[in-house]
Amino acid sequence: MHGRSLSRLYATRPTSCAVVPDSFLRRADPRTKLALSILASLAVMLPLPRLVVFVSAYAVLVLAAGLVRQVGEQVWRIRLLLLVLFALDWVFIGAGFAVLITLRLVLLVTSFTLLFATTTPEEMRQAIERLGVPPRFAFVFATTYRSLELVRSEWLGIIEAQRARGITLQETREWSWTAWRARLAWAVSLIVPAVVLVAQRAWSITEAAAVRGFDSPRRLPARSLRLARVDHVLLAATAGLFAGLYIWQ
Amino acid sequence: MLAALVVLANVTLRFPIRMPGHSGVVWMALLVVARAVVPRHGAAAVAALFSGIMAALMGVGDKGALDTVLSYLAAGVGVDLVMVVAGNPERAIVCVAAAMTGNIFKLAVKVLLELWIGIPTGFILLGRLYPAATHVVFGAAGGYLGFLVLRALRRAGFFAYLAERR
Amino acid sequence: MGARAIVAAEQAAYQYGGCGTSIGPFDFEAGPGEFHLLAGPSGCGKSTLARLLSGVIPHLYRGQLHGRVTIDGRPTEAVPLWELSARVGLVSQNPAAQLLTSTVGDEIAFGLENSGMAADEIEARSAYALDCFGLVDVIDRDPRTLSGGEQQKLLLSALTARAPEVLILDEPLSMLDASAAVQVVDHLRHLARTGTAIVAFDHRSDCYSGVDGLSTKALAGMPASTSTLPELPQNVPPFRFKVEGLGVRLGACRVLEDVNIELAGGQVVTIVGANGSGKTTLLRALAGLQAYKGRVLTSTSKPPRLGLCFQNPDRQIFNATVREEILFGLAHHDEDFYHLVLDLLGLTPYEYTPPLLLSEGEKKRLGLAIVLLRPGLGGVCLDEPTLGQDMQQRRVLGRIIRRLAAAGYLCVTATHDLEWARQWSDRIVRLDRGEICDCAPAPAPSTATARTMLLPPSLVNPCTDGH
Repeated sequence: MHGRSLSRLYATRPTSCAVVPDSFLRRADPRTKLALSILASLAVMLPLPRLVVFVSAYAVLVLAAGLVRQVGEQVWRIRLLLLVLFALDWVFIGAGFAVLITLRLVLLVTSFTLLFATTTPEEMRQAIERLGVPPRFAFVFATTYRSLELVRSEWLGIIEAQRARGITLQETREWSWTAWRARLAWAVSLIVPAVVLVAQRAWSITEAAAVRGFDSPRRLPARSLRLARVDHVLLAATAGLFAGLYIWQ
Repeated sequence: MLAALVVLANVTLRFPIRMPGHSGVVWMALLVVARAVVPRHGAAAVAALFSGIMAALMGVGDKGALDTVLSYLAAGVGVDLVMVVAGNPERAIVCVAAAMTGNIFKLAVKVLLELWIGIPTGFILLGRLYPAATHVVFGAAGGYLGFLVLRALRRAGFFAYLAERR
Repeated sequence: MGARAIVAAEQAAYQYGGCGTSIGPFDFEAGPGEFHLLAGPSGCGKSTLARLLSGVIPHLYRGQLHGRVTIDGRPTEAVPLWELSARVGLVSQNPAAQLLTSTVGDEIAFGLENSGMAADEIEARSAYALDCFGLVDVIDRDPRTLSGGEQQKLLLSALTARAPEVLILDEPLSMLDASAAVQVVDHLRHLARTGTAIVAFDHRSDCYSGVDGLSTKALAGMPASTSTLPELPQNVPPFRFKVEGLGVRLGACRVLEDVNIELAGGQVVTIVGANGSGKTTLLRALAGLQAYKGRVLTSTSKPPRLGLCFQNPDRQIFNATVREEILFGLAHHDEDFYHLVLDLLGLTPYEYTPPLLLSEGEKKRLGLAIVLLRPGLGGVCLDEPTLGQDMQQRRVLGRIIRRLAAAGYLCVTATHDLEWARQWSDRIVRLDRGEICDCAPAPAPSTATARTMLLPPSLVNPCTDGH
């Protein structure tokens, strides 16, 4: 088993709660945050002066919502790409273009942090349902996300169980057909039991949901999303900003 | 639920190869398997979309959530398109073609996003030519792995287990 | 049965599409307030019958349904399952596999939402259901963090909040320890007194012995095997080993601390303890799958290898036949020994069967076969081998373990099943929060009590091993 992959498995904890503590954005409706994220990603098409204004407003939003660390992490991951692109653009085209591309890339990479870092899977499910997606798909999504921990422990269990009978991946840089066959055989020995276990679990959930009336046409959600004042303020502010940018041209 | 496996496999089950696109070996295999296990048009795309959203929620992916979601979705769409045309996932060539297409679609989405934000085409070509070749190779390997997994599942009685259920 | 029957089966029979196994014909009726126990061994079709009576078959399963199953006079195949589920609830064997939401409160609300109730009624009913089952304090907890007994109560609570007239339970106690089982049966008795018909399919009939008005029906199963088990050759040279100061830390958690124990080939040692006491971790450490501090001293120059049989054998299955599964990865093997092992474990008829089509008990024995064929083996560790198994299967397993011990293998098992441990072990080791508390010879079976999980104080004897 690849050591780094294992530590990534343990490090990437699929917790079911949003990472950020309470903030006005955390309390906003997921549909509002989705709209903001989409608008932020579309804003990459703005020319440089207006893009600077938009990114400044975006930075203020990120700061106020307590998302600096999350956005910073995203930008840090692409730092090499940003540096190389910035240098190449400056040298071959010009400083203004280099700044434009950098800002666009940063905005594109971080735009959906507004949504994903501040929304729990349960809220995501409710939003998906309110957007008109059939409840079955919303339920499947939420259940799958909740099952990540379980699937992960099963996955680790499979790796250990196969290792106990001598089925391991030999770390080698060999490129021969024999070496590749061994790699593929190892992968098959893990994936087959994983698919079986996942299918069994999915079936248990299907039965459990069905015996509690899941497919009922009378279904009424106990909780439903409603736009609150914070949503109206955010949407109005965003609309005002875009209107201002449009008039400016 | 297979979407959960796709995400986990993408994070954890890596061959020790430092080449762009190598992660496609396992998760393209899983998308091919997902499409065969749920024999409906769009099954791979749905599984891929769910995987993409979950991966974004987990913070997986180097270029942000939008890139993650769209590239996962594109991979699923690629697999579905080939399955619609070619049909039978019991043949190795179909699985290989589906996975290759999916892996290339995934790369194509990244290229399109880069074009969209205005990165010069020349820079993109320079940066993506080598990954394009490796994506094709690893996509094919992923398809073949998917075929092997499907064959093992069939022989182990998994599809008989599925056939008993609606 | 004077009252009208709510659920009835008339000459009901069902044949699965894939593997062709069938059950029935079967006749049954249940009316309001009745408590029925349908008892039978593993493999007799309890789960299938439970699905038939609840309407899950034929709605979620393909296959051939013969005869009639009706709920309130209406054939189940003519009514949508969501409508049937309002009248009949079904609780299956593994509570953890039936949890659908991320909080206890949501778990109860899930079924009520599907009934089309208004939000305030959902809240009121949820509160009442939680109170009835003593779950109010855990309303915001993740159901996965509850114990097995609490999860089972949560499921009962979630189903009864919908006020079904019939509650069908498929082996509801199989994953529970004795005290949790008693609590669940008490809740079922209360539900029956309030008018709900209870239909329980179970092989643990002793747990229901105090239920008033219990109607018991025996389901026919496979006749018990009386054949003599083959003897294995004495392939394992005699050995002893001593574990000193074994400790395991997982993250910040100290799972095992200063475990000292002497083990020898030919022994059957059972480790007992509550959930979280470290039983599985100890087995993994003995099998070499878990890093530990401390040392292991052996009497032989090369330490004997201990193989581990996992609790869930599905984690290892990926080959086309039982034979391929057992022999996978083995460059060479002794064909005679292989057939002997198949015979011992009752797998000979299934040698060319796809492993996924085996029953749970057969898969567990397949896991044991995989371990036994590995070279250099000195012993086996078995993690909860009796979980979900009926009396007959547990007896078969005990006989197999004794045969292995007679051939010189060390057999170490971890289990909650104290009765089984007393009957088949040479020694019982009790773990409590990662430390050994007792290490006693197994008492004679006549002193066993069925309902206690931990050793009674009178059975603590001076230990002859170093700890």
